[in-house]
Amino acid sequence: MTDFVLSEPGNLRLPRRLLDLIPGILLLVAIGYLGKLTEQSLSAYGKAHALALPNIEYVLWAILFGLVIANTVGVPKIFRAGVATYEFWLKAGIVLLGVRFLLGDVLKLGGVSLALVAIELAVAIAFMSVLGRAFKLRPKLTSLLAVGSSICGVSAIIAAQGAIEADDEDASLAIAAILALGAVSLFLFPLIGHGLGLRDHAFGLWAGLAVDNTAEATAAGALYSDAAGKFAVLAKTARNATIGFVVLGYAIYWASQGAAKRVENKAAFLWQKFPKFVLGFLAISLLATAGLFRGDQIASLANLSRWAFLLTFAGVGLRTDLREMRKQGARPFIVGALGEVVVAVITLGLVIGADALIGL
Amino acid sequence: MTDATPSGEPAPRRLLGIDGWAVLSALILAALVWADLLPAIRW
Repeated sequence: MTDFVLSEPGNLRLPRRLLDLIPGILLLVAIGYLGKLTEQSLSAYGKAHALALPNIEYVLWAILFGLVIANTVGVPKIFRAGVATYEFWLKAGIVLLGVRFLLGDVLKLGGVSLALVAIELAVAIAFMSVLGRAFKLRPKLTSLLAVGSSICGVSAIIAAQGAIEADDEDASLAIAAILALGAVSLFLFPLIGHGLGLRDHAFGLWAGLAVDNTAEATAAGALYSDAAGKFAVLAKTARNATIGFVVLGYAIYWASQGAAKRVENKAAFLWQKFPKFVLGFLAISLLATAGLFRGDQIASLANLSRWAFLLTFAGVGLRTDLREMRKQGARPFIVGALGEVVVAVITLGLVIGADALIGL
Repeated sequence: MTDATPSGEPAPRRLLGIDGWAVLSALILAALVWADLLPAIRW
C-alpha cells in the first residue's frame, strides 16, 4: 500500500510533493462527484418517468466506479500519490463530523462502544488464534489477522507489524485479507441490516464494531442511512482508540517469546500508537457542545465532512485491487473470513442486546 | 523517530503524520466556517 506522502521524508521538496498529489485528488473528486451525480440523475429520471428505480446511494456508486477503474485499466502511476490521500480525507471528515455530536452523547455511546469493543476484542483474538493454529498459519500472521479483524484493519496491522517485528510478507497477506473482507462486508452488512430491520443507531453501532477498516465501516454505515453513518463512525473511532493497548499486549507477548524487542516505555508506546484524529473529533464535538457554532455553521461543517467522505469512498474503490488479492493465496482469507463471521454475529448479538437493555 | 540511520545520519523527523495533518486541516476549516469566511457549504 502506498502511504500518503505529505509528511514523508524524501528528497523532493514540499511544493513538488504537494503538486504530485493533485492528479490523484482530482480523480477522487471526479469519481466521488460522478457517484453523487449518478444518484441524483437516476432518482430524477425515475421521478420524471414515474419509474420505481432502486435508490442506490452515491456511496455505492463512488465505490463501484473506483472498483471498476482499479480492476480494469488500473490506476496509472501519476494518480497514485493523490489517491493514497483518501485516508487523510477520511480522518479530516471524522474530525469534522464531531460537530454533529454532543459531547455527552459521544461519552455515552463511546462508552457503550468501548464496552462492546472489549468483549469483541477478547472473542476475536481468542478465536483467530485457534483458527490460525488449525489452519497452520505462521503465528505472527495470525497475530496480525487477529489485530486487523478485531480493531481497525490496515492501520492496526501496520502498527502491530513494527511492534511485533513481523515480516513484510505476513503484513501484506494480512492487509490483503482484511481489505478483501472489508470490501465484502461493506456490501453485505447493509443487506443484513435491512433484512433484520435494524434501527439506524443499532446498525451504525454494529457496522462500526464489526466492519474492518475505518473507511469501509464509514461507507457501510452511510449506505444504510445518514444517521447510521454517523454512529458507525463513532463506534469505529472508539474501536480505533484501543489500538495501542492491543498492539502493546501483542508486543509484550512476542517479546516474552524472545521474538520481538522489549517495550521500554509503555506510556510513550501507547501515545505513539494512539490515533490522534480521535482527539480532533473530541475537540470539535466539545466546541459544538459549548455552543461555539450557530446552526447554519454546524450544517456547513457537517456538509464539509460529507464532501471529505465522498473522496474517501472513491479511494476505497480505487485501492481495492481484486487481482492483487487473488494472488495472495486462500488460507489467510479463510481464517480472516471465519473470524469475521464470528465477530459479526457476536457484535450483532451484543448490539441488539444493548439496544434492548439501554436503548441506543 | 530520531534514531540514527545505518549510515550515521539522523533520520528525518516525521512532523505531523496523516492524523496530525487531518486534524489541523479540519480545525482550520472549522475556524474559517466559524468566522464566516467560508460561504455556507452545501451538500
